[in-house]
Amino acid sequence: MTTKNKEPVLLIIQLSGGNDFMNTVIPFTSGVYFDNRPLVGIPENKMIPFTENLAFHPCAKSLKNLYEKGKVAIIQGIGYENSSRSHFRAMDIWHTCEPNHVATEGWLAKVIREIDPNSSNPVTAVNFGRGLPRALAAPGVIATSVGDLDNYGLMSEIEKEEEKIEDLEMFKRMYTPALGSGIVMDYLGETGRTVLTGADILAEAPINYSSTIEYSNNPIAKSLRDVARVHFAGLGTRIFYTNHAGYDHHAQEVPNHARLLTELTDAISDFMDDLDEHNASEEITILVFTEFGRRVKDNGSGTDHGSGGGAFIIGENVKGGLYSEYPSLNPSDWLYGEDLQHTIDFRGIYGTILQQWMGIDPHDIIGGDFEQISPFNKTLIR
Amino acid sequence: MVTNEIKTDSSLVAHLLRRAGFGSDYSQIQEFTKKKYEEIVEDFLNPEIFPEVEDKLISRHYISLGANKDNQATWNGRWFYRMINTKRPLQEKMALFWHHVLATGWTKSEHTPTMVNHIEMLRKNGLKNFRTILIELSKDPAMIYWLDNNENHSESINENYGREILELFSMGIGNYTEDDIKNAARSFTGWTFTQPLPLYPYGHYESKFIFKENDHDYGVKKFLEKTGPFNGEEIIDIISQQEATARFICRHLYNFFVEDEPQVPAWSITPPKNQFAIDQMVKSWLESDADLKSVMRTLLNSDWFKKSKMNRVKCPAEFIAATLKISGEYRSPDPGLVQLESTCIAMGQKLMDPPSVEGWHTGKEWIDGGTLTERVNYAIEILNDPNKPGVKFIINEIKNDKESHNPKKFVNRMLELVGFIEISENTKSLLIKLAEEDGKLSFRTKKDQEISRNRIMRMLRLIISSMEFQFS
Amino acid sequence: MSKPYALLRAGFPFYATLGMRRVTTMPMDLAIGKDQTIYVLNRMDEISEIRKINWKDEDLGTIPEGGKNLEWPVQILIDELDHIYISDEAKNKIIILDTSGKELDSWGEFGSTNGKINRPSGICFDKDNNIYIVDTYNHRISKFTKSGTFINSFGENGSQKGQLNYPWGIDIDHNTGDLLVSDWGNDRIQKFDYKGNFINDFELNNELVGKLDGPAGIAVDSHSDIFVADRGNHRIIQFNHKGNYVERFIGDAVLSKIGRTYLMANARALRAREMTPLEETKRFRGPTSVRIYGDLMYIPDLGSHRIQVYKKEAYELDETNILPDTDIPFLYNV
Repeated sequence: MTTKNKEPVLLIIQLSGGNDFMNTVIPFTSGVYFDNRPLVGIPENKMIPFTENLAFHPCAKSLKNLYEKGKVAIIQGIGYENSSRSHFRAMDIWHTCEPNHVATEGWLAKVIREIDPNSSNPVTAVNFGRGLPRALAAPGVIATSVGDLDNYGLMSEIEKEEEKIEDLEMFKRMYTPALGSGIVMDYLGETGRTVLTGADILAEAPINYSSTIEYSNNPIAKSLRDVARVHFAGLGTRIFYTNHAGYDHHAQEVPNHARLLTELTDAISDFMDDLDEHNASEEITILVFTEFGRRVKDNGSGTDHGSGGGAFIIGENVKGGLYSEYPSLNPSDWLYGEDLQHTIDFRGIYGTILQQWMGIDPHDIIGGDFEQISPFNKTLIR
Repeated sequence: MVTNEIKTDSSLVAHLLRRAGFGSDYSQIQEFTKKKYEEIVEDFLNPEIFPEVEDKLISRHYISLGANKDNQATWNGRWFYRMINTKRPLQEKMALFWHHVLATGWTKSEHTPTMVNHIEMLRKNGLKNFRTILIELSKDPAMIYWLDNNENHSESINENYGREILELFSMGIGNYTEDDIKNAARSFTGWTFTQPLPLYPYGHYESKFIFKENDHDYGVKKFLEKTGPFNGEEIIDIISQQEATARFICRHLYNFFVEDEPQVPAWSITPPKNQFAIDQMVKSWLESDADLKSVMRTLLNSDWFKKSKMNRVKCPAEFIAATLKISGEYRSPDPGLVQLESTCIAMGQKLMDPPSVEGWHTGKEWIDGGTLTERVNYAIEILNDPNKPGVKFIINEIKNDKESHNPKKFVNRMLELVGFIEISENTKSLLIKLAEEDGKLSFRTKKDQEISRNRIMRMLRLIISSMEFQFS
Repeated sequence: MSKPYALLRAGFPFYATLGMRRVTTMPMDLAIGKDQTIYVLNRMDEISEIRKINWKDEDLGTIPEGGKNLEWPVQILIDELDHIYISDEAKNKIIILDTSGKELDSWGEFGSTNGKINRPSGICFDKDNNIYIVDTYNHRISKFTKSGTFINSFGENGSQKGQLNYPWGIDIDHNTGDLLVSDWGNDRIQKFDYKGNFINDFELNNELVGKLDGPAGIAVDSHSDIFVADRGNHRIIQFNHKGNYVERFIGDAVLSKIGRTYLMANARALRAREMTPLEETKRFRGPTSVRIYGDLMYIPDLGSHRIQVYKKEAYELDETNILPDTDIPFLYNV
């Protein structure tokens, strides 16, 4: 047993660009699907059916295997009223839980505030990628964003190791202002020193990691391996966040979506195996989400922005299966006459995870009470 | 040269260039010292005397600039290019100032041409009369869409613009009633824009202001104790004459150019840091009938401005431009300008896209663990390279000036060469101690030269990663 | 085909529109391969690529993968072996690819001495398999073999006859072997013989249409007519072989096939199109190149992300059809 941490941990995987849910979980018995997707529709003999009406994309084999083991909850038709078709606005809404006005506090930042009100651990939440996602940002909340775990922190641009060490030592002294330097200087100094501490803590993670799992060489696999390395180091991280980009398939959807789904589902599967190898399967739940689904009708090369997407909750404690309803394929039910209508509000899914997995009251975080589902094995509900 | 008479102290010139511009390199500062301070200020206040930054060559290499306004990162790259190369520094700085105050963003419309034109409007009008600025703002399609004035109809008003023009763009909360808001909104009914074609299939087209006569409320309005069938321009006349407007905008100017104030929402309950300074500016405002040039003249020539060195946290755009000024890069349109937008975003500021109508939170709120890391690492990435023209210059200056081979003098000279930066006693004593430990710089043998060059590079790295370098 | 004695110019109607944004995004230049595939050079400020399309307006994908060997490509040529030549003004190189995008060769060295280049832009082949390069920041034209051996160069910075100021486009008149160069900074066209001797220069100076503003790409057709991308004025200017103005093209685009498919799937865009006058949307925006293949003129319409094609209709005349050449005007009496 390598971990000291028994508190529940949440890993968020954001699929940026709007994953085509209809081509990820395919309603293959519907003529509407094939009629509207002459170009991007998946041929019936290639897809992987898993219920009477639904099939996985041919490149989601790993997801199908996890599904068969009962570890995948598919949230069909996740979204919100009057879904925005703008990537930026839609992402903002998912990040702040505020569909009706521009908000600045991220939902996970509020979670961090609950977990670590005194900001005592700079790695309570760790993002892998450049810059902090809005979900993790709020005034006074500390979250760490790591571009490259093996070369993280201040002065990472300096190539010569001994120069870097010397400079960091000077940095620490320069960022220890004399008494009476003023509030701003004190704050700046403290921030600088906290960054140094965070970097020192994270520098531990790669050292003790060993695993037989060989992750693929692509960004999402690399990120999930970094999550594993930090988690096994037992640094007290409760929220991990990472991003898998490139889902905006207006053109050349067929080859590109296939590649992304292969990378994503293989990486998740390797990550689950890695957890298993380290006896940590029960410690982490994964939420995979995207800002919207895509237009029902294809545009001759890909699909344009739509709504009514899908999300996945994955983990050892998850009670696999289908949740909520697949959005209606009847054109008269469609949003704006062309998009799938959502069937469950995303804030209810956040609420489900916060309440049933993290053990946190979701009301103030998601801004109200929303319908929840029960995707966790009863015995493990906290 | 005999004419090389110093008329303004270098460190004061450097201060002025940091605040009224985007920093400067050492030679520029030396050039300006030959003029009297008040003359430099007058030059800055009259940008039209100096040539514009040439667009012809940059749009040959950033090829979309000569063809469309689709690509925001390219246009923001062009903005950085202007910050670095402009002969009209205050014009560029005023555009950024108004972008903070009259915050309008790309996120809602995702319409880049409108945002590009919006910034151009701020650049063109930034030093004019406040009335002109508000009228141009109210006719700006980016602003109209941002605050829903295209949904403001004579039969069903949308109050959004009417509210924000009073609360955020002129008087500040507490100086008007809810009825004033409604009546202001009525006066702007029919102020809308033409429908542009969307990005796909053939790229964005521009949108222009139009006044829809048949959607304007011509009725009588009561606004701030005045009554009449006011239209938008007449409402702006009244707004511009209010002392509350003068106080509010002058405090914004003070916050941006002189010293960090608390965030705007606190202003109605927290007095200004320097009431005397605000009073002086308000006096200029009222005497000149809201002429920004007069107000800025008062500000830049005042003692409180001259004494305010290094006490404002640089915003990310200032930080990037200042760093590139030192490195000597982008004096011509080289590859890389387009990436500056994402560098700036990582530091917490996306130009053309403030987070909300309240603009960016400034001062210490620019700094958190992530943004501080980005700032320090960016400055090192850019300047830890002895082949950059500006860094080469610094190395040669130290090498050729025997006096600065003495450790203490070395530190002081380095601080001058990066732009007459003033640092705390604590930082200075650390740097001097470090320099003294390594002794006198020498350039006698090849080996000496290498050691000394490394020492100069290290001193440069430490100065630009200091707390003080975060300030302007 | 050799140059006819003279022409009856019957017309030059608009012929077709191809592509749309995200297929032909910011098309800067194009070339047509043996199998009629159109190789469109997309220069998107940050990244660049070659996009293959065909006359059915199908998107045939991108080479090289991720555009990784291109930084600031300016022009593209294809030789008789179907090898693709690209000038890259950021890398200071000529890059040679096969049609699958594999890099066959690249050469070029930054500098100002003979044989070095600084921001290469226009390129063209001569009949001996050599390549002329517009060496923009050295204000000269340099000739290399296709494998990169320096042959000679001519030109210097200035505005006198024969001098150049940030030149851009170049093409060869195969009827005479002369070179036509867009002298971008001087807003004029200059003609040199193949050795680099100055022949003449001409500007546009027409009351109705004004002057050239930053002439970019240039092309010469089999009749020795000269076509210039007059970038700053968003148009193509046609001169005859003497440098006399013939006509201008300002853009007449219709919806491309792929554009129609896109719009039919987008209710919002369809509505916007119905709410706005369409005339402006036919026009070129900042074109940087013009290419002639047979009787078709291709203009990569950079700012509008599409290719516009025009078709030349002309009858070739001999001495028996038309009076001898003259520059002296006359008034008509039948």
